[in-house]
Amino acid sequence: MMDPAKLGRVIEAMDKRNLAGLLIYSRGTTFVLRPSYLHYFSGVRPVGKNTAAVVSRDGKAVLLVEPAWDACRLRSNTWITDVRGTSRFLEDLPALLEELKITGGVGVMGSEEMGVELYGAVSRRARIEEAGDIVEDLAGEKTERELRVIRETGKIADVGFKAFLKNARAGIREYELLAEIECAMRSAGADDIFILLSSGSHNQAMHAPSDRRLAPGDIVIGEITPAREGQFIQLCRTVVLGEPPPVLKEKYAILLEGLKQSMTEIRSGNPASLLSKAMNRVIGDAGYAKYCYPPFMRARGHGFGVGSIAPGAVIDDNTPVDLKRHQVVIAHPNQYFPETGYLACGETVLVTDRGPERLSETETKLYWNEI
Amino acid sequence: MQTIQPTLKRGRDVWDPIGMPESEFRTRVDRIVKEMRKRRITVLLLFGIGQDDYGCPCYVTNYLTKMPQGAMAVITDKGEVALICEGFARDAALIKDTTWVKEIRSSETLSRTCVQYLKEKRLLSSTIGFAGVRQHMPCREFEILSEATRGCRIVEADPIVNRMRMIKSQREIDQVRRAARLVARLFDSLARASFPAFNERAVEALIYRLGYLDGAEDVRILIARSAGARPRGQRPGEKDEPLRPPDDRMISGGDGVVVHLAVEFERYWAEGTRTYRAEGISLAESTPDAVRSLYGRITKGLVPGKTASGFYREALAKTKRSKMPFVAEYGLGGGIGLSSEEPPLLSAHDDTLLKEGMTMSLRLCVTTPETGLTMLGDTVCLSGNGPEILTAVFPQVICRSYR
Repeated sequence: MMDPAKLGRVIEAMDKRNLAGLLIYSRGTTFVLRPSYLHYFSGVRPVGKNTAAVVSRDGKAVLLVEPAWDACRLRSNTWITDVRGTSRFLEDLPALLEELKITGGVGVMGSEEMGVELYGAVSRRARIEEAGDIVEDLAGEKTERELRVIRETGKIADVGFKAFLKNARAGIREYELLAEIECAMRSAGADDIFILLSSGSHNQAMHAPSDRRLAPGDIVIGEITPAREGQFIQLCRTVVLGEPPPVLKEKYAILLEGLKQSMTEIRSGNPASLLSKAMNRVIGDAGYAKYCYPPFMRARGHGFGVGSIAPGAVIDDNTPVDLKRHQVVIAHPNQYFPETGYLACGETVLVTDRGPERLSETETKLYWNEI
Repeated sequence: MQTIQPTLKRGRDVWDPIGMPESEFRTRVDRIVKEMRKRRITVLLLFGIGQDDYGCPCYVTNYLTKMPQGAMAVITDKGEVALICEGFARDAALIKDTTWVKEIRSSETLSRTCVQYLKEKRLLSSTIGFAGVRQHMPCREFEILSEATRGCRIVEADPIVNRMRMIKSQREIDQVRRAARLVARLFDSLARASFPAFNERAVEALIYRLGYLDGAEDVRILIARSAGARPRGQRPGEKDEPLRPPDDRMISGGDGVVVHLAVEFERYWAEGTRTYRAEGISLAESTPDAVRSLYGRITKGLVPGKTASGFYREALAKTKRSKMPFVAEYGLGGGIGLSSEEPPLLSAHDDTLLKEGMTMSLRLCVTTPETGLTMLGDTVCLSGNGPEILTAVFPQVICRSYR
C-alpha cells in the first residue's frame, strides 16, 4: 500500500501537470503483468467490478465502491477516510468529479480497464490524461512494510514448492496436484495465486491443469506464484518422476548456468537486457540459439509489483531500461529443447546495489522423485 | 453474487465433448443465425473478458478466458464461427483442446485481429451485431473496432443471446447441477472439518483444496461475521460485518460465521450461502428454524409463470410478515449459468417472466435476535415440478416409474 505520507507528492505531480484531479479506476481484475494502481494507492483490492479513488487538487480523496456492501471492508483497510458505497457507479462517478470541482484535465490510471460508457461519462466531465506514471514513480520506492511483504511472499513460494515436490507422483492428476499446492500456500498466508503446470514426457508449454494423470518418467513443470497484498513472487521448477535420463540432466544444467550468469548481471544501474543476453548467450552457445527467440521464447524475465511492475512486463535482449534498487524481478531461462521439451527454471529476486537478493530458499536444481 | 476475481482461473480446464458435444454448440449457433437473419445481421460479434464475463463467446465456443483478457466469437449469417482470443500467438495450439471451433486466432490486439478477420471475409460493409461488446469491451479496444466498422450498420444484439442463455438446455442444467453438487459437498465438508489453527485462511484453504480436488475450474469464497451468535453483552460493541474475502482473522468459539461459496465446473457456476456458529475448532450450521421456514416459503414461490419482480415483491412481503429485518444489500439473487450473475435479476424492476429451464441463485439475508446476520442461499432449477434446490446435500429426488 502507498504510504499516505506520499499523498503530498501525488498533489505535487498533479500541480506540475496542471491536473485538476486524479482518478484511479479498477474493474476488479488483477493481471500479473500489469500494475494494480488502485490496490497500491488505496491499499485494498476491490471485490466489485467498479471502484475508483478520486483525488482533488486540494488533497481530498474519496473512494467510490460498487457493490455498496464492500464499502465497510474497504473503509477499515484504507487510509482514505471518505469511502462511499454505490449501486449507480456510472452516474455517481461523474457527480463525484463535479462535487470535487474536477474540470479541465483529470489524470486517469486504469483507463485501459474502463468500458465504453464509463470512459464516455468521465470524458464528458473532464479531459482524460494518462497518469499511471505518477503512481509507478512512487511505487518504485519500497517501504519497510512492502519489503517485509515481498520477503514473506518468497517464503510462501517455498511452501508451495514443497507441496509440489511432495505431491508430484505417478497417478495424481494435474488438477489434484494444483489443489495440494494451492492449499499449502493459502494456509501459509497467500491471498491470491497464479499457477501454471504441465506434465508429460515432452511438454510444449505450461498451461492450466488438465485431467491428465502423472505417469512414471514424466517431466512436471510449474510456475508457482503466490501473492500477498498484491505482491507476486514466482518460482519456476521442474520435477521428474523417476531418475532423469542423462540428456535431461545435461539440458537442465544449461538452464542453471544461464540463470547463474544472468544473476551476475542483476544489480541496480545495470541494463535489464543484460539479464536476458546472459541467458541467451549460454543457451545459444550450447547450440539452441534458435530456441531463444519467438515463437519459442517470449521473455526472459519480467517485473512483479503492486503499483509498478518495472522494469516491465517483458525483459528481453532489447529491453531499454536499467534495473533499479528494490525492483522485484524474475529471471527465468524457461526453455524448449527439442530433445526434452519445455523445461522450467526461474528465480525471483530483489534488485539491490550489490546484486540480487534471493527471495526464496528453495534450491535451484533439477528435482526428481523416486517412484 | 460478486466475488473477488482471482488473477488466474487455476482449476481443471477441460472440454468434455460427451457432456457438452459439438452438436450442442451447433444448435446454439443455428438458433442465433436464425435470429440474425430475422434482423438482417450479417455478422455477430460476441465479446467476453476476464474471469467473470466470459459468457457470451463461451456460449457458442466453450472457450474460457482465464485471465483479464478478452475473447470474441464471430458468427456469420452463413453459420461460420471463428474464435479470436487475446493472448500470445503460441496459445492457439492449447486453445484447440477446449473448443470445437476450428478457426482460431490468438493475438495481443484482439480488436485489430477481429477487424482483419472481417476484412478477409469482406464483412466490413455489412450489418454487424454486437453482443457483450458495449458492456464488457475496454474502451480502447472498442474505439479500434468502432473506427473500423464506421460504415456498417450496428445492431445491439445482446437480447438475442441473453434470451437464449436464460433458458438452459438439459445439458446446461446438468452442468449447473454438477457445480451445485460441488457447492453442497463443500458446505458438508465445512461442517465436518476441524481446524487446529482456527482462522479464516484455514477455512479458505480447505475450501480451495476440496473444490479443486473435485475438479472445480474456479472457486470463490466470501465470509461475513455475525455478532448475534454469542450471548448478548459478551463482547459489547461487536457488530455484524458484511461479506468480504477471508483474511487472517482468527475464529473463536461462539463466533457467527456466514460463508458464501461459488464454484465453476466446466464453465458453469453454482453458488450457495450458509450460516455457522463456531463450536470449539469446528463450524456448526446454525440457521434458526424461523429463518429456514421463511426461506422455504420463499423458495416455494420461485416457480415458472410469474415475473421476477412479482416473485421479489412476494418474497419481501413474506419476510415482512415474519418480522425479521431484511438485509437488502445482497438482493435475492438472479440467473446463474455461464456467469454467476446473469439475467433475470430477482428485483423490483425486472419484469422478465420466470420460465421452466431457468437456473437461479436465490439468497435470503435477515437479522435475527439469536444469530444476528443470517444468510441462506442456494442454486435452484425452475422445473415443471416446481423449484429444485440443486445445492442441497441430499437434493430432492424425483423417482420415475419406468414400467
